[in-house]
Amino acid sequence: MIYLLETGAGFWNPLVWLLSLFIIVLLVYFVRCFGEKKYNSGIEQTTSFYSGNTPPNLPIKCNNIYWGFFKALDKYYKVLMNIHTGLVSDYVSWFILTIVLGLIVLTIGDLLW
Amino acid sequence: MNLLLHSPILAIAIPLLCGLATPLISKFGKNVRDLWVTLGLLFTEFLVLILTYDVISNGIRIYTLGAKFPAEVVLTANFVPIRIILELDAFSVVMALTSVSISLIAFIYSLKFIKEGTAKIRYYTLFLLLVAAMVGLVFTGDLFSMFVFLELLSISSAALVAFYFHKGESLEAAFKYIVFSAVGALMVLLAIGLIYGQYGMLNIAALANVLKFSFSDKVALVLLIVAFAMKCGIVPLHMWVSDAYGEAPAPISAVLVVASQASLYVLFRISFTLFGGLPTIGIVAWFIIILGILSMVIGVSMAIIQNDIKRLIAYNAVSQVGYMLLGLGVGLAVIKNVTALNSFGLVAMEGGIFHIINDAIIMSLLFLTAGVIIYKTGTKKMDEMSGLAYEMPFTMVLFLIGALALAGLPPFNGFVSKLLIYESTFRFNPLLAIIAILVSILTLASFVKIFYSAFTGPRLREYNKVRDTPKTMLVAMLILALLTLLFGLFPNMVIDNLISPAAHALINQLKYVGGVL
Repeated sequence: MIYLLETGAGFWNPLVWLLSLFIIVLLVYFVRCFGEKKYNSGIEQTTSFYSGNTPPNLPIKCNNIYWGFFKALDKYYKVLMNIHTGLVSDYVSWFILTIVLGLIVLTIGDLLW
Repeated sequence: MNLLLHSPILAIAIPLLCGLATPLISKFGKNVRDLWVTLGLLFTEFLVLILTYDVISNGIRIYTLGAKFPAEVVLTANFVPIRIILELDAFSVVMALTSVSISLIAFIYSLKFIKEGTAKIRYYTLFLLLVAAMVGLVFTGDLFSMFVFLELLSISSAALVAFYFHKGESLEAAFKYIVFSAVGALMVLLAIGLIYGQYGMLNIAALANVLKFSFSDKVALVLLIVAFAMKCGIVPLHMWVSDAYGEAPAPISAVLVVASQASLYVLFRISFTLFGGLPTIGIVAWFIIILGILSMVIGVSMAIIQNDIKRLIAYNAVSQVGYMLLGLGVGLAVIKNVTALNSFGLVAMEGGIFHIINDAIIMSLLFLTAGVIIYKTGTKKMDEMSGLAYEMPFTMVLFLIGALALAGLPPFNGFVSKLLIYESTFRFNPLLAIIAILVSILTLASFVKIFYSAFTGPRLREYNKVRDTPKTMLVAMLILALLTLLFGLFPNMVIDNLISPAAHALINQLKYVGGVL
């Protein structure tokens, strides 16, 4: 069957997934039909409250997205930024370091074998 | 002339010759030049397609250059194969098909994306040389030709990264790329010297048969693995990726993804075929797995913090290479344990190889949609974008398909390959599978950042009358989006006909050796 993929531990059938999605969409539409009939878009009831003033038409900048995530992982990101210097000499140093590391791993592996 | 008989060398020679003749053909006008390059690429695609069909149906193909009959291997008295030998198994043809198909789609996109002028001739020439280098790298059966094609790939890629040479950033990115690539190529040459000094031969199949795994062999193995890991942008050798992918023209970023995957092919060819018999191959596998995990975590961590749309996608490309290393690394770790290999190792390898193809399609789609955004807005900075969904709804839908597929959401192709990797890796080591799932969640978060800042939000006045997207660019993206959906809906068609034969070819070292000896 071309739709059924056996993964060794289970299976995946995209048709079943699509059918489930269709049923969920139908259910959501059904529930939506019970919604407020008097809803009107484009009037004050649909705009965000901004202390009684007109909300500014400004996008939230890319820099501000996930601010909390970056703040929580500040130390981790400081280390990452220090590694990414943009200097080609540092790139070559990482290259040599990885070769040395690979040789150490293989030598220790040989000794333990 | 029997086309099928000579198709392995023609698949390398056609793009090479077309590329070199492009400046001359350009004298006859831009339409003739475009037709010339299109025909060259279409013919290469046709050759790779018939080769794929032939190799998947009939097994390994050998092509010896200069032999009386191309399928004949010329051996000396000591059974040492001489002359340049191309050896094609299921894994190599699958990789070639991916490389050439993505290049063809990127070329369709380039027709209107690259502005007319003398630079376009240079662009096409280098583009075709890059295609020839990729096909050569995956078809070659000997180490020295591999080095030659690697150099051709590095030089043409670096020149294409520097295509917008009037911008300082492009030149800087190309400089970093070529310096780093030159150091890597030197290490490859040193490794080849170490091997040739001991065994007096360069053919991979013949070497796999005689390798004694001495200390200098192991040094050569580490040099080769690290050099090719650098070429595919594995952490901690990934620093060039964000610069090169970020500064290259969008279709070149897409081709650079498949060029990196050609290097990944070599890494696996060396690990599985050349050094597959190494007693401590399990340690090499763990080394690869750890590099893969580092690539996944650090790649996505760096992606999520970017404000430049192409650099964000580039770091995600680093992260996705980690999944391929994880899948194939798990297969390598259990290669000597038949029970584990049959139980989950082979599925992990199938997942890894399927993810190579899926990643090529999805990353290309994402780079091309990013190219459309830059083409229309003239900026790569997401801080300067907002409300683009009003002007570019079609691009937004295509971007969403790519983003959801890369994050591994059903029903797209990325989900299927990641599912195979998660389930098989979980049976090898649950912690690895958990990290892989967490990285997928962060991948989605990084693309939500692009979607939110570029497509949603209020409409900006400066983008009210942005240029229309040319049809060729839309067609290229549409093909990739359709493939993303088709491979997700009918995964068995791809897995049974391409992926599974490729995975079996990779683990069957004796068959590869038997092709030459």
